Amino acid sequence: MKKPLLLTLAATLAVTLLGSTAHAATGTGTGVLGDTKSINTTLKSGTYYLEDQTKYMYTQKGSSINTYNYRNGISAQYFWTDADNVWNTTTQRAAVDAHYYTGLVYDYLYNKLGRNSYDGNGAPMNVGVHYSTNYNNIFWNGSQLICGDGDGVTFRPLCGALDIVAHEWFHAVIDYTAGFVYNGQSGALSESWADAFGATLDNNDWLIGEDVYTPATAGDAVRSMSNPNAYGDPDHMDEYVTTTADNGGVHTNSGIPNKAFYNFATSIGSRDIAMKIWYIALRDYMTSTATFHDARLATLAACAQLYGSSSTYYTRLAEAWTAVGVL
Amino acid sequence: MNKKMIATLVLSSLVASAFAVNAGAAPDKQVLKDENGQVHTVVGQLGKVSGATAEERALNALDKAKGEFGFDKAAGTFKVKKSHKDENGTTHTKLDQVINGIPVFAQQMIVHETEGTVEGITSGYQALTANTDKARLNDKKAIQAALASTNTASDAAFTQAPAAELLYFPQGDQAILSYKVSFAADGETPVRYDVFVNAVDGTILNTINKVEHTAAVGTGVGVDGVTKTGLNTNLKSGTYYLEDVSKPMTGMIRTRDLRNSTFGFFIYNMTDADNHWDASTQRAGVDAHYYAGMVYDWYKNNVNRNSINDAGMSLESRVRYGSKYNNAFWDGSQMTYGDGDGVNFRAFSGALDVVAHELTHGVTEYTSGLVYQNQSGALNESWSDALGATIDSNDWLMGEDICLPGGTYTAFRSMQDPTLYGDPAHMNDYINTTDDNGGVHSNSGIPNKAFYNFATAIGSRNNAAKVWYTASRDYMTSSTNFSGARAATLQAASALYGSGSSTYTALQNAWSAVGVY
Repeated sequence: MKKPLLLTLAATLAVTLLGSTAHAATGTGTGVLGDTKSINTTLKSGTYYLEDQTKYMYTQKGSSINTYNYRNGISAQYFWTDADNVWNTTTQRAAVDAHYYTGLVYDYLYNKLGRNSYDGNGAPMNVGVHYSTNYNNIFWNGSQLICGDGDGVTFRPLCGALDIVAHEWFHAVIDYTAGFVYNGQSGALSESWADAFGATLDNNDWLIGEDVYTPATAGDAVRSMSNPNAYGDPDHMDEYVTTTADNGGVHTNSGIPNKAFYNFATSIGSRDIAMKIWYIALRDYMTSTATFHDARLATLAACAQLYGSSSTYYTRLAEAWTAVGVL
Repeated sequence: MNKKMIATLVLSSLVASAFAVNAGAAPDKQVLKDENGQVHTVVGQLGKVSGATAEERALNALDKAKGEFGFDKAAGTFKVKKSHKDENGTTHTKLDQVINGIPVFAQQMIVHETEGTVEGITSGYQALTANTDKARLNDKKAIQAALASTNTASDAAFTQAPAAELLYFPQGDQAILSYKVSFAADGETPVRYDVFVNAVDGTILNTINKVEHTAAVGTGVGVDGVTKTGLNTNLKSGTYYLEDVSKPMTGMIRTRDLRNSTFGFFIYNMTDADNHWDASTQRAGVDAHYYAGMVYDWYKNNVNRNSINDAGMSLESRVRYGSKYNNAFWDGSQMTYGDGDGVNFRAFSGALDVVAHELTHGVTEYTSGLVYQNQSGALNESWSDALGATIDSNDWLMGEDICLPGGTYTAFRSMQDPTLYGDPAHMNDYINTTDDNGGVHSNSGIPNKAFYNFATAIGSRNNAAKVWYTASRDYMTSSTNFSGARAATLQAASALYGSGSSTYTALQNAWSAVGVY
């Protein structure tokens, strides 16, 4: 309970003392992989903050993308500030990527899917980085994204991967749409839909997490959508894993719908169109307890809605699911 | 199996025309069912409904399909959750199932209609009977129960304060009046839980943690000084533990340290700060852990057995048992390894075949349950050796990796030539003794040699081991003797490869060659 109070107090102070003098600014930052990128920041009283006020949700209702710093703790979060708007210190790298990639997620949701932030109604998008020490995870906690630094062996800071950041934000979208129960097949659909979104934004391969996973080993990843078997995950209903671990294998059996997405997107030659169908299916045609079979029906329904049931897309989609044994 | 197949085939033929809303004339009403006969979707021409609001239209639409879904009246059975009109003008109205005005967890309907023309209904509905409509617990008690069951302190760093929502939780065809207690908390292990607490008796019906486990992968130096990569560990509070949570088990693979005591009460977790397990006191633990994972994988990948009990039980190992202890054993619930005397033997977990051997004793206990005495006892030993030589497949020796150069031994046993170590390789040499439970470690040479004969004849230790495992699981009793083992393995080979197969013939020859008929 300490943390929200701290933030509220600080935010109130900021608004009271500096509010009217805030200006949107464009800085440059160095990411986890050492690359340079342009980031949207806010200038208040001569100091730059990792607050992005450039999105539609800001004009609509004053919502920003805010990136905070756990400073390797697990409770209090602090503002990121910089004097010259060149975010190039080592500790800033995770924040730069978390901020930049969250911006890309907002843009994709808004421009390509017509969704205003994860809730569809302009909710601010907050991220906390440097969570705990050596923490090999990143997750949506129901109200914000929380990102660990990784231990340097298994992971680099996890927000250094666009597909992972996109994946986690999409869990928030799922919460506000189909609201999949995170268990069994509906849980695996939750994971798979999040992977599909990740691979649509980070579209240079079909791997998930390759940019931050095992820095000492090139070319490996957490999962593959084109070949789930490469990481021990099933890619066909014949290989469905029945287990009680991992909420019923939600990170394992996701391989099956993942492969269906891969099949579909590659057969029509567009991840964007495939994602649009996946999103409409999620929003309009699936309930919390949807099974793989329901997902097939729902994506076909969304495809019919968007492109017609006599379209090539519709046929390709049916084939994509059939190929993984979801009939 | 077949039934399900037919059901899915029927489904697939319907799917082609499902939701064909943009394709000219809509088809007649179609009802899609899952393999249990549960209706999950109704599509096609459901007709026109009236109503000023989306809710009225949705309820009217549901009434049109109430026969298919099996409810009496939509009003009172469903309550609108949300509704929106999509880019094509189709309104999608999502409704929660309610009983006695209380929502049912995760049971929803979605009605799809355009200006009152109903195009389909997506259903998560099932008919449920409520156990009661009276909660006997208040929400405060429910929250206490949920926090206690998840070991969460009431003053934890909540990012989402615990809140309880009264609802029905579906369990079979029953709807159990429950509280869904939701909370998220920061901490060394962050959590985000939905805990379902029975509103009558306070029992926990279900727990879902939406923050995944933090499995880690480290490196470790084994007993022989060689570094192993891919050591599965668990990161908790910034410290790594020798706990492998990466397997699809209900439990985990865990390795702990007795620190040279024989008294199991004092057992210590093995931990490491940087996930590089390179201290000399960690070596026995690294190998016990790593090899247990390999044995787990062999059983899972080759014969689809999930751990010793085939229900995902934890594989527990204890290392550094006693002082200079020259043995390893399975005690009915865990593996224990001594350090060896340092003259003849290294730490016993340093040999993959020894680890596979001990774990297979566990598997045998849960399958045939061979009595550890006389011929059934020798079979118990032999089955463990066979799996040891299958998983550690570069020779036919047992324990060679932990025999120190310059010591008295080069290995414990040979499956290829049991006589090298004084064990019989033929029934003619069978040893009648009361020592060693009736010579279980010597007469095992006879079935060991049969396994060797068989595996080399068919050119596959893996296939031979599949036959051995299947025989133990399906065709052997606790008192099976050598001749019974021959019959059991032949039955297993027949089941797997057919009795007319060359595998079957090779197996007959393998047993005959050691004088077992």
